[in-house]
Amino acid sequence: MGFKSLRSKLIAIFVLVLSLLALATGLATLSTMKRDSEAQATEILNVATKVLRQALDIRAEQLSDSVRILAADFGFRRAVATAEQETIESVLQNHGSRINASLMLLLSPQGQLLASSDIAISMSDITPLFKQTVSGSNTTVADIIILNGQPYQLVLAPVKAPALIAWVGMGFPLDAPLAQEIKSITGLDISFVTKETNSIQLKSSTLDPAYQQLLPESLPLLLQQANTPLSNTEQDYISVALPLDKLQQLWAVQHLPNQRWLSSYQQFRQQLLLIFGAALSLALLVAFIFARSITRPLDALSLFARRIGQGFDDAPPAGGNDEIGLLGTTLHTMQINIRQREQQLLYNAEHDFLTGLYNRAAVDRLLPDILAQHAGSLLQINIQKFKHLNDVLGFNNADQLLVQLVKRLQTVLPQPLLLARLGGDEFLLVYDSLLTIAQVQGKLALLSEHYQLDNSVINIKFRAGVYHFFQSQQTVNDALRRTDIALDHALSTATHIAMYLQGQDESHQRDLTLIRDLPDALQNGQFYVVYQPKVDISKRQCHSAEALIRWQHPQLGFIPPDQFIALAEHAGNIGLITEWMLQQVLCQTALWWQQGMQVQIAVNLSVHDLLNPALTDNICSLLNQYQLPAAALALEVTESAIMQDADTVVRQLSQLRALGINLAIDDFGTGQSSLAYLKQLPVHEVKIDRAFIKDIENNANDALIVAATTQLAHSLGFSVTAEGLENRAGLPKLLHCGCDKVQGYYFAKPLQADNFSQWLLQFSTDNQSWFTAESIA
Amino acid sequence: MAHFGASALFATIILGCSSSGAYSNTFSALITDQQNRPLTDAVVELISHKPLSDTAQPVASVAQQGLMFTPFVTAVTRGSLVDFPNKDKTRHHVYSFSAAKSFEIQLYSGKPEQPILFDQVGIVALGCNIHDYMQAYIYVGESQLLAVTGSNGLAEFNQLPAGDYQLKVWHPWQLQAFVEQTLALGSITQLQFQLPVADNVKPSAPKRGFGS
Repeated sequence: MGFKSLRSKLIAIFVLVLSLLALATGLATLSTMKRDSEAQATEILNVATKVLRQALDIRAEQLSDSVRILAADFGFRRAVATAEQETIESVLQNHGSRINASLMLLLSPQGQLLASSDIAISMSDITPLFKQTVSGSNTTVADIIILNGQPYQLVLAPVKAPALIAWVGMGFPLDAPLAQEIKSITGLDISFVTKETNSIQLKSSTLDPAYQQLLPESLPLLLQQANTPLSNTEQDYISVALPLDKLQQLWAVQHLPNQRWLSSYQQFRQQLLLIFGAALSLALLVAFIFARSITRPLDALSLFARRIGQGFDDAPPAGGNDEIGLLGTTLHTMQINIRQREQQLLYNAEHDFLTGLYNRAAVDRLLPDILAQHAGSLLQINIQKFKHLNDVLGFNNADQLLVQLVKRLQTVLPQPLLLARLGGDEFLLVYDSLLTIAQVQGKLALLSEHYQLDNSVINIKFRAGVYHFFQSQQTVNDALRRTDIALDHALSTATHIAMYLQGQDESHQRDLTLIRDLPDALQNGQFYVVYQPKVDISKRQCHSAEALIRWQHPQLGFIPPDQFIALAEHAGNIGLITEWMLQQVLCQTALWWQQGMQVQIAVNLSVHDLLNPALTDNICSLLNQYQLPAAALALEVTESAIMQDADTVVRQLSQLRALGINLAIDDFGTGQSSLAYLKQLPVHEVKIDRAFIKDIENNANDALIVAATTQLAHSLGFSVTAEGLENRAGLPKLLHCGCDKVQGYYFAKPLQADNFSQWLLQFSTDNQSWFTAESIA
Repeated sequence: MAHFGASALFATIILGCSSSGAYSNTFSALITDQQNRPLTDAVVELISHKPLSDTAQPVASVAQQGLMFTPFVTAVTRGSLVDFPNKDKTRHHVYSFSAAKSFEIQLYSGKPEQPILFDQVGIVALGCNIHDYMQAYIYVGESQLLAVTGSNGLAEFNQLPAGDYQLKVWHPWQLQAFVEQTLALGSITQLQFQLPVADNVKPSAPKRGFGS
């Protein structure tokens, strides 16, 4: 687990360092103190040992003196000289008690034991001490020996009468009273211990009985390391063992209670702990305050930095002259720099690099306020054929032209509320007044002429769309779109200035919906095909028809084909429609052919289809798919379609013709077709537009045109179909003109597949009624 | 033992020399310590194999003079009386706990009322109860032929009838008992004997602490 915050880290380090310091100091002090105490204890014990030895020596001397005096007593000597056992024993008893001896012996000058107050004592016990007398000249000797398991200070003194007649021995026990006496001298507890072969026995001790019980455990080690102070296992006593006799059978063990220095040691330790605790608390407090004095400005800086990040313009937190203050200053500088860069970015984001005008993004930002607060006009102007100008002048000069234009725009009065460059050559001007066409015209006139570029003078033309907006009625998108719609319309006006008219936007919206819905509608069965018969009026037969597409929109209802086909061409979706149409028609035609109805069905192609190189292959594979001969299919193209890219179209048509497909020119007579082209077109048929047919019975000019056209077509080798015959009255005219086939409401309106086959059956059985005499008359 | 062997050999040579000499009734024994130094205060006793006529023995005397017994060693025949005259200003308390004669003359001055009869053969160690250092010995022999060596180590006997004698030698500090010897006196005039002794000093009066 790590410390997350700087504050806890600082506090932890503080406390750690202090703890280590305190611990080290404490340990050093305590260990020194302990060592001192131990040295002191050792010293005390050493002194006590010396005192003990001296005390015992003094006692031996005193006892020796006593015994010597006793031995010199005349009565004693006389009693001893009697050599009567009884007498000797009683005089020993008597005189021994005078000097408080508890053991009395009499030895012959040769060392034989003559009498003893303790019958358990044997010669061999005494011999070691007696041997000490031989070397000396009948002087008193004293030593500590163990007799019958009891430690004694034994004194041997010669009995002279006046020659040596015996040795008298007096023993004084090393017992509890002596231990107490020694304790009163040394101030230390003492224990007497005997060690015989392997058994160590505590003989007497001044220690508390409780401690006496524990003593035997530590005795072996103490005796092994004589004169070395050792602590017992409970650490409450330091003891030192001292051998008292030459055979090291009797030991005095002196005890120094640890309690004395232990308690001061513990007291000192307590004090250290207390000091340490207080210091630690203080350190914690200091560390906390110190850490806070660091982290608080840091927190403030952190908050400040976060606020900078969020884009707020806060004042920097007040800081001192330290690093944190410096950081604060740096952050503040950074804030200013960021702000400047941000403003630069913002400026760049909203301004056109070339002209310095607002761009589209700025319009999106600024226009809502204007729309909300004012009523006025949006004026969008466009340089006509700017692409062409670009090509002619070069990009640099074209840019120069734009710059000059902008300069003029900025001087044209009144100043617009907003002037922006929306795109390459598109400018938007927003006014708080409702502009009229004339006003716009006036403005554009100021902008059109005399641009000085590369020493040449350039004039430019504009088109303009105007949209009047009223306060809070529209969104920016709507307003801009409507202006744009107006601009589109400007193309088709003489002045190249158009005002947005109510409803234009709605039809625009409808068009968008249709374009959007069209692909799905093809899949969902909203489209269907109708067939209009083409009747051969000379043979009074019908073997062909034109397939027409219909769209029943679920919300918008019936959509006229010219509407959605134009939209589809515009949107590039016409290929989908043609593909669908060919599928449907060939499928149906294949059915009819299987039923024995060998009809030729015509499908309309757009220029887009004709420019598609794969068209021929697609049709070919469809025919194969439905196992139809090429004669089952006819294709109709408009004059205008051919004129868009005549060469490509002609090549495509030639391929289709080569397949054996019947080709027709639709709407003949309305386009700007050239007769020169007509000559080259690889078509079989010309369809004269309904404009010349529908009123042919009343209009002699129409009849003339139809007659001439028919004649022309025939002479070029084309068959002729008249479209749009509505009345029986027109039929004789068309017969007269020489038309081959007629298509129109007179015979049948476009019919769904089932109705068409019924109609066809009916026509074949009763075709005469369409051509009866009265009808021709 | 080596000392002892050597002394016996030495004695034989002297005996050999004297066998060619004329009859003599004088006999002297030279007693030396283990270093052949003349030994003072050694008692030499000759015991005749033939009973000698008892002659009354004079009263011997062991005086106390200068806080000392004088002489240090006295040899008397059994049945002799010994006087203990006190010639000091202080009183003395002469005693003996010896087996040969145990007696006590309690604090007295001048001459005791009666001399002490020594009627048993043996060594009597004398002491004074109030002067522990004072020591003296009385050798009670069964023969009348007793002599104590002087500083020259000689014990001399005169007018000895010829014949065999038992020879005893004793000294208070002797380390071993002297082995008794039989002598055929007549031609022998002088013999030398070695007796090892402890290197003791004869007790003497300590310096007085009371100004006397």
